Amino acid sequence: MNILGIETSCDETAAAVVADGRRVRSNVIASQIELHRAHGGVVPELAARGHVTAILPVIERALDDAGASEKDVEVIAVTAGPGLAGALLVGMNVAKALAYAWGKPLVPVNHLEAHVYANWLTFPDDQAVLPPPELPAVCLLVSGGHTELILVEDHGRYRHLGRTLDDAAGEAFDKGARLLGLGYPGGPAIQEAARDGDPRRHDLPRAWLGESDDFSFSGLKTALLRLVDPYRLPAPDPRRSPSTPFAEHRPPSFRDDLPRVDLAAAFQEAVVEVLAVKTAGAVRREGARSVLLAGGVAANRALRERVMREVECVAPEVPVRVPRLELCTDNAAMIAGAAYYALRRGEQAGWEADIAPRLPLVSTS
Amino acid sequence: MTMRSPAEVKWLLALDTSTDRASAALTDGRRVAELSWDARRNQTATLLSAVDQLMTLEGVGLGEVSAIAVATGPGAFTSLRVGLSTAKGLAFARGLPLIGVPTLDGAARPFAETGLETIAVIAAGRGRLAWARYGPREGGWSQLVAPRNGDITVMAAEIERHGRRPYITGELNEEQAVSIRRVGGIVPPVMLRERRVAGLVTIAWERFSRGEFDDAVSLVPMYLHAASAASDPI
Ligand SMILES: [Zn+2]
Repeated sequence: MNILGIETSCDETAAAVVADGRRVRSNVIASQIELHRAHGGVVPELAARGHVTAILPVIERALDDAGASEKDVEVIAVTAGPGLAGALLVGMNVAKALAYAWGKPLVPVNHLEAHVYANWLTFPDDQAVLPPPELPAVCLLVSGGHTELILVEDHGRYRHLGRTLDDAAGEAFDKGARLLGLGYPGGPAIQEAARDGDPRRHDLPRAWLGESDDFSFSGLKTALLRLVDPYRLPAPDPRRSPSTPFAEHRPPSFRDDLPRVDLAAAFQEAVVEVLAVKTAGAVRREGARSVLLAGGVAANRALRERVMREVECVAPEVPVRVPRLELCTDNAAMIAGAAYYALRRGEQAGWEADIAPRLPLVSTS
Repeated sequence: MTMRSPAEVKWLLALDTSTDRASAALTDGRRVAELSWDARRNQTATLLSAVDQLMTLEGVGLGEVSAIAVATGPGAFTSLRVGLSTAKGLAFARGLPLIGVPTLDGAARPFAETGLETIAVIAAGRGRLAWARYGPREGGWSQLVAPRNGDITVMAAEIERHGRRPYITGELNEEQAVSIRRVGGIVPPVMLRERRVAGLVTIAWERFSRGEFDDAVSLVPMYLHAASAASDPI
């Protein structure tokens, strides 16, 4: 069964065709990263505007790449939420129109659930096709928008073990990178800077929050701010440029002796350690049979290595799976993949389908 | 209902989600079927259902639709994108031409034959209005002053400065209507001044007949005023 997936929940316009919930036949992503770079973060109104012009070419290419036409597509799947309302509604309304005009079922998909299902996807050029992950699984979903620890008991059955109480992990990296005068997005920028740094030269706090599986990164940001502040040079007044009504981000300037690489390394380690230790703790406690990483921050090498090390300590027989990078960040293949399993549970929507910007991850079976 | 052959009858489907009042209409150039409703925050949930109802009532299948038209603003950015995304999806799926019509042009169109100087206005949210002035020009009737936005005092001051008595059509609440009447604007009762989708349909049909289409990929709403509150990075 071929499913056309559409995803516009944040700053990526994406469409994909996936067969039977696993085989990726096409996966097209138009990133708006350049659009938002000048602002140092995602501007919701700009994201929505970007989707309006990107959506049709992206869908057309996803169909072309898959060699599929209207009659090869059996289902239209689309992200219903969570996400930015103005961004979500572009994908939802285009998807509804396609389903209506082609007479195909419409399946609204939970974006968080879809990230989990990225671990089910395979590509034609995969060296070895892994079997589907064994359940129950603990999924650590970390990106600019999410930091969630999820127990996947079975298809459609989830327990939300923990989430961030303030900044998402990717957001923490963005803010940390901004404080250090590094680029946007912050994750890759900090990873790059941290490569030559010594994480032990500076002490940054970890928010363990007792026995809880929740996360908090705002204290870390404040601590970093305190460390960089003595090196900061006075900045000119922020001004709005006449060419854009949107606030532009001006990177701070620092004295030459700012220990940037060591601070980046310490910051990265502080984020990664809490994520990895809590994930491993959940694996042991819940008796999980696999660990799934998801979200853009899963691309961070230090995080992957630390999660593997911590899980190895508590449950050496449990495999840690990480999707390909293009399936870690927001994409539509994961939407089409998750829709296959959702449709098997009868989750199909009528023409009154709506977006749900605050959609929680709930069990549906 | 008479049998129509799809080959000889062409229908145009028009959508307008510029403001809280949403509309959908169908025309074959001889008659108009239209629906208007209070969509507010339910634009996404209601638009396609309304289209489906309208098509069913009129006995028209999507296979008989030959073009899609959509209001491009000014209006609430989010609402506008609901109609535009739906229109783009329908046009793409059926390989149909897409026609974008400025919202105020559509609102003013019913008064073109009167030769009256007309101001079309819509509620742009948070008490703000967007309006444009239309009237006789060079032997025809067209837009005299491009869309601008502001609150009711700005609009009233402009009418007073102009010193004529324009006909007002569109979305004004009663309080705003009083302010405009005070400076000489001719404001009809609320049921008569509400924007009618038939105006948009007429313009779209004229353009359809001339083969004037927009590019479905690049068509965007008219972003009349800079977003302010929503403009900062999250
Ligand atoms: Zn995501």
